[in-house]
Amino acid sequence: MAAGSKNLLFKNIFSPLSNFFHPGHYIHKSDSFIIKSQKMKQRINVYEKGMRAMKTLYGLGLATSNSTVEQTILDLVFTRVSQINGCAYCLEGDTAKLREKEQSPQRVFLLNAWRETSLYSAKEKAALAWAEALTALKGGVPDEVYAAAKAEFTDEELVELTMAVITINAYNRVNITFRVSPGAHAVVFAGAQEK
Amino acid sequence: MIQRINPYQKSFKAIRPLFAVGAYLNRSSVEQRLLHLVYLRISQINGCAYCIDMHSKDLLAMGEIEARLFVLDAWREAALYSYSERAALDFAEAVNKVGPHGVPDAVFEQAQQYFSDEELIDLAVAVISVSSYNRINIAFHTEAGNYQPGQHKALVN
Repeated sequence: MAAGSKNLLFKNIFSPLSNFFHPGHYIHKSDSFIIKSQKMKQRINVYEKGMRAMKTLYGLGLATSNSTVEQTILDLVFTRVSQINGCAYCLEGDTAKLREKEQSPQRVFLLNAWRETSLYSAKEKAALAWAEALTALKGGVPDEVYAAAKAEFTDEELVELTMAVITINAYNRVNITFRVSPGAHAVVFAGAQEK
Repeated sequence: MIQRINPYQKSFKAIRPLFAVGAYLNRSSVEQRLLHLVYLRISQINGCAYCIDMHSKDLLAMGEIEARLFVLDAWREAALYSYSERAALDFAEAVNKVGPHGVPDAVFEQAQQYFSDEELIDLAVAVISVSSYNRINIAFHTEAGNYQPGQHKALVN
């Protein structure tokens, strides 16, 4: 495998989980101490016991890695879905990623109330509404949500956006269910690099 | 329901990795019939017509009796399901729901009594797999009713 594709594998397939390699993961030493001392105990090490299962799940991220949907929109969607599902592990990584891309803190903080602010473009709002409807699955995806998304994205992009929502929902479930510790997937990452 | 977009036609490449998840689950040490019960229950909760049609037909074709499928919506109140099935369904429902309270310790520990760590991972992956299809078919209004048992078998082998 060429050097470039190794990088691609890391950046794309592992996308929602790879954020923990971001240097700003623990911003202050004192914070790191607090986090460590209160850390939830991991239930099962999924990378040890379920390596094959986890590898099939990484594949889901492929759809978004080659997408023409802007990465910022995907990152906003990842963060919003992780907020709804309550995945600490994913939230920490997704928000760090947004900040790394020089998104303002307010663009991150106000995601909880994106409908009430003009901080997000019409396109971003259409994507967020689509992602929320598909995450909640309460009575399907309303026609007006579909119409707004269709006005901003091509059919192919809408399928890719859907796969992005599916991917983050999948990672949220793994991390919440088994209380995955940040950095636990480093083993898989190292393995992927060697190939 | 008029189909909005045929996602399998428009962007098969994007969806293809999901089939690998299905292929993985077909080789799980968790009983296939139980996995299918989970697929059906999660599809009921998420309200995916296509998936309910598909998994109910698959279960009947596997020899499952109708009564167990008709009562599945209220499995907690029925004596039709074994302890291990109940533990699996409870666990699957919690993984599907997640939210601020996560998967409760009681549900997780109950499931641990009947399933190995590897099997618990597979059960979670089963929920992820079926809820992913739920999302695709709900998003794009895939028409339900015409599924034939085993129709998609070639895709997940």
